[in-house]
Amino acid sequence: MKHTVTCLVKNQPGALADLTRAFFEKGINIYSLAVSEREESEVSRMTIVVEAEAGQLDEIAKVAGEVEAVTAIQDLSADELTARELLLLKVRATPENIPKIMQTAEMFRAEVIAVNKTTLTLAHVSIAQRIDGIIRALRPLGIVQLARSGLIAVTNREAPPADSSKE
Amino acid sequence: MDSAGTTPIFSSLEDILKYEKAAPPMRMAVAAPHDAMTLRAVAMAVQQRVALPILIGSRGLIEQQAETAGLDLSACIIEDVDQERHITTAVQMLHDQRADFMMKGLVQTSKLLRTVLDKQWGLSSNRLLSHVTVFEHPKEHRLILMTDAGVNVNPNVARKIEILENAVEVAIALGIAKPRVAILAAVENVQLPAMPATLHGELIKRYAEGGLLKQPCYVDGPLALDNAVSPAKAAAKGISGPVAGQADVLVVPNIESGNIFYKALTSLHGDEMAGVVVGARCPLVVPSRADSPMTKLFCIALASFLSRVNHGN
Repeated sequence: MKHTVTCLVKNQPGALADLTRAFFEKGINIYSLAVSEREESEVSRMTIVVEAEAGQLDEIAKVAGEVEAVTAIQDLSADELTARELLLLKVRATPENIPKIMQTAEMFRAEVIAVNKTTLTLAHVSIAQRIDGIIRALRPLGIVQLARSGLIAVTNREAPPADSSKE
Repeated sequence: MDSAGTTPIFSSLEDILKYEKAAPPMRMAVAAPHDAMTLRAVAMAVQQRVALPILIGSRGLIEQQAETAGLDLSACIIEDVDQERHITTAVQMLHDQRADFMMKGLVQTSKLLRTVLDKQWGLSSNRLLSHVTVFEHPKEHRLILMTDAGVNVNPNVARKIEILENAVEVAIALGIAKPRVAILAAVENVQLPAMPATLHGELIKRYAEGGLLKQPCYVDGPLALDNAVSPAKAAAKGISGPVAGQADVLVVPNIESGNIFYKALTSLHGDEMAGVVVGARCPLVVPSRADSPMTKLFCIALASFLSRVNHGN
C-alpha cells in the first residue's frame, strides 16, 4: 500500500542523500519523491510516496527522524491531503492518431504544450490514478518520452500544517 | 452557372435559386410555421417554385398569421397537428419519404436536432450534424463556404474534421471538384496555449496530409482569414500552397467566431447568405429570425438542391 509522507528538511548539501540512504538501509522502497520550496527558504518540503504496510509506518517515521537534516515528519492519509502530480508526455502524432490523442487529452483535461513534426507533448496535472489512466490510454498510440514529477501535497487542514516535530 | 457534365457549377446564390426554380420542386416539411417570418419565406418559395411546402402545425395559427401578413398559402399543404407533434410529424414525413427536407419554424433548434438524431426516425447517418453557410466572394465571382456558425459550440479536432468533411461534401455538390479548405485562426504558426485554433489548424492539416479524409480536397491551416481568401494578402505575407488566397471552405475555430463572421457579413456588409444543417440523411433549414427574407429563400433553395443531390436527381 502506498503512503505519503512529508518531511521538512534543512536546505543543506547531502540532506537528500542521507534520507534516501536511511530508507534504503531499512529496505523501504520510495515510489516517488519531490522536493520543493516551502514557506521559509531555509527549509524544503519533501513529499515521499513509499510502498509500505500499515505496520511499517512507525518505522518509516523513525527512519526519517534519525536523519539529522530532517526537522519534522508528517504521515498523511488520503483524506488529509490535496495531492497532485505533473505528467509530461510526448506521444507519436501520426495523422491517424491525431484525433485519438486530442480526444484523450480532452477527456483527461490534459493540455497540449508543444508540437513538432512527429510528436505532441501533453502536460497533465492530476492525481496519480488519472495520471496512470492517461498513460494507459495513450500507450497504444506510441509514447516517445514520459516524465512524472512525483506527488506533491499539502494538507487539507485549515490551520497551518501541524508538522510533527521529530523531537 | 456553368456545368461540367451533369454536375452544375454554381458561382452565386442566385445560380442555386435559378437552378431550383427550373427543376421539379422538392417537398419541404416546415415544423411549426407559426410566425410571419417563416411563412413569408414559405410564400416566397412557393411563388418562385423553389419548393412544395408542407406546413405542420396548428392550422388556425398558420392561417391567422398568413392572413395578418397578407400571404397566399393556398398552394401549401397544411398538416394540422398538436403542439407536441410538430417536430415528430415533420421527421416522420422525412422518414416515410413524404418530404425531402425540413425547415424549422417556431420550435427550439436544440429540440429539433435532438429529434433528428434520435435513431428511431432513421434520419441520423451516424455523422456529426453541422451548419454550413454559403456566401459569395465579394470580389471574385465564386461561392465560399463557412462552417460551423450554428451547431457545434467548441468543437475539438475530431469534430472539426467531421465538420470539415460535411462542408467539403456540400462544396463538391455545388460544383467545386476539389475544394480548398482553410482551417482558420488568427495567425499561421502554432501558438500555445494562447491560441488553440492554431494547434487545430496544424493537426487537421497533418491529418489531411495523411490521406485520411473521405473526399478529395486541399487542406491548409492555421490560416488567418485574409491569407485564406485574398491572393494578394497571402502573397504579401509569403504564404503559398494550394489553399492560400483561394480557399473555398473556411473552418472557423468555434461557434462564436463563426457567428461573428456570419453577422459581420450580413449586418455590416449587407450580404445575403444560404445556410443549412448537414450530416443527417436530409438537409435542414434552420434560419435565424433576423435573416432577411432573401437569405431565408436562399437557404431553402440550397437545402432543396442538396436534397436533390441526395436523391440523385
